[in-house]
Amino acid sequence: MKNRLKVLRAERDWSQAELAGRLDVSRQAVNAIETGKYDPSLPLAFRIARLFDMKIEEVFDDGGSDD
Amino acid sequence: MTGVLMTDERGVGERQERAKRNRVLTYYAVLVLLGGTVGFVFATYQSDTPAWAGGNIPPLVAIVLAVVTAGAMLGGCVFMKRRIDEVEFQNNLYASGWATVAMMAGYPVWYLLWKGQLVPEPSHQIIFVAFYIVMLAAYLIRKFR
Repeated sequence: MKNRLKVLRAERDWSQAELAGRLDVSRQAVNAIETGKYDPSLPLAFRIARLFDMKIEEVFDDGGSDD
Repeated sequence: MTGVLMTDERGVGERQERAKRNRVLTYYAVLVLLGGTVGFVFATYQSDTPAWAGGNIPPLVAIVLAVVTAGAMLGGCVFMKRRIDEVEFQNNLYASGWATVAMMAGYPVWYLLWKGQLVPEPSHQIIFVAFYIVMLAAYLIRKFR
């Protein structure tokens, strides 16, 4: 699953550790999500979306269509 | 928590992350200390022959070491479950799964070969160490893939 986490983080000039601390996860977890090695759980995806004041689908893209 | 973490104050996340990492590292240090103490006492306690060479240790010492070991492992699991994030939990779950599969496949195979007089009798110590080696290897592969 693709995501915009790295871009959103860069826009705020946050380090991976900064974002990790705000999400209460490890820096390695942020790196794993950014590089697409790990797809976050729904609760974590919601936390990420809320942190950036966005909808989940604005942060994550599963490549699927609406129909 | 989310409200605090959404503050605009710079560096708040890094401080949170550092504190979380330090708590986990402290736990690891305590575990190493306890494990080292248990191992040191066990390895150096001598009756007729060293305990590690097949000798025995007094029942009271055995009970104390067993309680410390069980407490450290069980308490550690509870602590880590609460402290680690979901990525690390998945890594640990993956590693534990492979180690379990290796043991469940490895022991009966070894047992059958032993019964066929092809290999020495299964060793619980080797099985235990092999379990940890497989678990560590699976963990590292998953984490750094």
